[in-house]
Amino acid sequence: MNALRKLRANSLRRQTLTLVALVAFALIATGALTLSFVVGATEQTTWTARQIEASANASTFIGGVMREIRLFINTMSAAESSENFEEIVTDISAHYPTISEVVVISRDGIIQAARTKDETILANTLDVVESNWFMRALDGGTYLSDLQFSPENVPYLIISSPLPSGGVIGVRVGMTAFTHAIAGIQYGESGCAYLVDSNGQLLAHPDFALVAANTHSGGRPELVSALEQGGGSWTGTYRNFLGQDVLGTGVAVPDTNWVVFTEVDQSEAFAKGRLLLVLSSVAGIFGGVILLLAIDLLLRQYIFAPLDDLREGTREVIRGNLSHRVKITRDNEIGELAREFNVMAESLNEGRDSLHKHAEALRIARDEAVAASQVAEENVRLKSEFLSTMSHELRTPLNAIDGFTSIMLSGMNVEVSPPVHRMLERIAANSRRLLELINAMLDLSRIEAGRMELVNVPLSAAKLIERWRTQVEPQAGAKNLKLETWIAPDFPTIIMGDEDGLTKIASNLLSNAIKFTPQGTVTLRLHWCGTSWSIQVQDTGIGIPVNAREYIFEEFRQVDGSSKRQYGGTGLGLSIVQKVTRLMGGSITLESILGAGSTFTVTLPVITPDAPPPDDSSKKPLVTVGNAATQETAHVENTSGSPR
Amino acid sequence: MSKIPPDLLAEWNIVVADDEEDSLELARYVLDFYGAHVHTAVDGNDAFEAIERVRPHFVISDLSMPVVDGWELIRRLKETPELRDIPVIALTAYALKSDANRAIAAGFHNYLTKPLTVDTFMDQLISLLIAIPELGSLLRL
Repeated sequence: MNALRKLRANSLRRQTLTLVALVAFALIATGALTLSFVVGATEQTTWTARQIEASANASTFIGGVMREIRLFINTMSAAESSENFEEIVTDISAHYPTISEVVVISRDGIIQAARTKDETILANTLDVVESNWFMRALDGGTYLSDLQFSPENVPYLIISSPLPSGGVIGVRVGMTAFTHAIAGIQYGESGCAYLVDSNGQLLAHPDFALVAANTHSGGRPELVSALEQGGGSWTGTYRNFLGQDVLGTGVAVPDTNWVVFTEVDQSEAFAKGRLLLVLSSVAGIFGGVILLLAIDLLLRQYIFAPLDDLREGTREVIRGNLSHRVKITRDNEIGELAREFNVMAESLNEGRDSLHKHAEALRIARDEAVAASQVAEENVRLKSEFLSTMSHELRTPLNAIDGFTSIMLSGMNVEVSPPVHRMLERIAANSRRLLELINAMLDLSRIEAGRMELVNVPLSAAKLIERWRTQVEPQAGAKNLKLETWIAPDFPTIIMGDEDGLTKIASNLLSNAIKFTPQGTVTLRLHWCGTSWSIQVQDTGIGIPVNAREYIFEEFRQVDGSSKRQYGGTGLGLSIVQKVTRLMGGSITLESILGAGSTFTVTLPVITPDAPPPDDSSKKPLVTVGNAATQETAHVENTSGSPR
Repeated sequence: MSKIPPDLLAEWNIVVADDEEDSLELARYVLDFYGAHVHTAVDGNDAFEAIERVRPHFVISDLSMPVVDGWELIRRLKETPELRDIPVIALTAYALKSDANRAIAAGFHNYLTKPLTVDTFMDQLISLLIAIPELGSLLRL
């Protein structure tokens, strides 16, 4: 069952075995048939030779009998005129055992002489002159009749011949001699002979009953063929008139229209060949089966078993068992294949291990990245919280300082002497400076932490500029500076923008300008050029040296260390301006003449109410400083980024 | 300051809540100077009791206080029908605009950021009070 299932499952093996079986069958069949054909041919030759010999013997014998009878008739013709004719008839007929009756009839039909050994048939003929044998002989030739039957149903032949006197001699010949001659032919188990005439009338047969039954087999092919041969012999296999399949030989009897057939059953004639065919077939089939089994065994051992191993190995690999190895049994092509398979499996195994390692490394890296990102988010949150708390915690004591100082300065039920008043003012100023610093740091940190969101709303340009002016007026007034504002005539009444951010830009630029301008004017202008607009702050201050223009936007940087003491301020203003400008997608330009003043211009994109927010400014180019070393009037174009 | 009359808030009842003693002291000093009766509280609970008791003209409250903070206080006041219309002004050291927006959204009338000098405090306070009809008319300017 297992072998069968295997056979069915393994189609290559089945195909191979089928092919081998077909070839083996063809070879065995060809061999067996050839062998049996050769043996059969030899047998037929042997049988035919014996048959021809027997037939020829019979034919010769019968021919001899007929010649004897003719001789008798000739003798009778010669003796007709003698006086003792009747005696001669009697005498001679006694010497011819095959002759049963002799009758001599005159031209007129009168019986001249008659002699019979058994019964009187010819002489009893009532109307002799009307009989066939008489008339034919009278016409002038020897006549041999067809087979006749006596009233007792004994077959016989009549031979008649004309006599010189004009009469006719008729001879009745019994079939006994012929029958004996034919019956004497016996060979093998079934070999026998019979005699027929050209009409198929059975003349003699070992089975006399057949002759007596007036058997006819006219028109049979074997008879036609034998007759066509003339004097020779004819041999063939055929079904005879009795329905037997036979190997037969026909030989014509001279001077008659008779043929002697000798026949033997084909089953006997070809018995050896058929036995040999059966035996060789059985042996061939047996040998073929053994051959098939042997081939199958070899195929399995050399091809299919290793192939099964390979297939099993492939399945194992498909299932993911990459450590599976195929057994290498032989050093042939399949062994080579198995070796290559093992190399492939090894390579796959290594690849998978490597993948696992990489995947593991990736997983670890991802976990680390996630953790790091969480830490970073937490850091941002903590920083933001820290800033908020820090600001709160710094403001709370400042509130007390400012509050109490201001109470004392405002003289609310408190009297202070002028020196103390001056000291209190110093406290108040420093406290204010500290507050500015805290606010600036808070702003800067918020922008850096990405916590400053721009909310673009419609703003009145006139109100904006007025508000900014009001904001710094006290500061300018304290230094006796002129504060001027100017709005371009074509500047729209309403502009979109983030008020908080714009205010940080303007107020920082303004307070910066006031801070570094000992005397003169600070001018605030709003320019319009269609696609962009700008806030410009010009002062008549100390100016900025060329080498300082790169770093004044950095935190806590002023032109030199001493200026901090001289001019105060946090050092964060321009940095805030720059960062807010960048956030809004704008740019800063700086023109300055040392000792004559500086002009800061912040150019911002025009925002239409439905326009998207400006791009992330981190993509903008860095600060460029053009001809800074040679020109008194330098031009710093600061679009984005910290100058580093 | 000289232009602010000393009896600006005469006979006003004001509750000030702050856990910082200095802040309380400052507020009390200044408001008292202008004639108000100042009731101080160190947390939201105290403040709520004081508000229930004295029904002040307005309240000034810090946001971060122990036990019950300013957020909880405003929530409770808004839940109490007879107290919900009393204006509460937040006074805090939290300086972010988002904090101020959040406070106004929670129900505070307005938002003042510390530190404050007497001048800035009074200027802003008067501006706020003028904007409240029932109180603005009571101011003795």
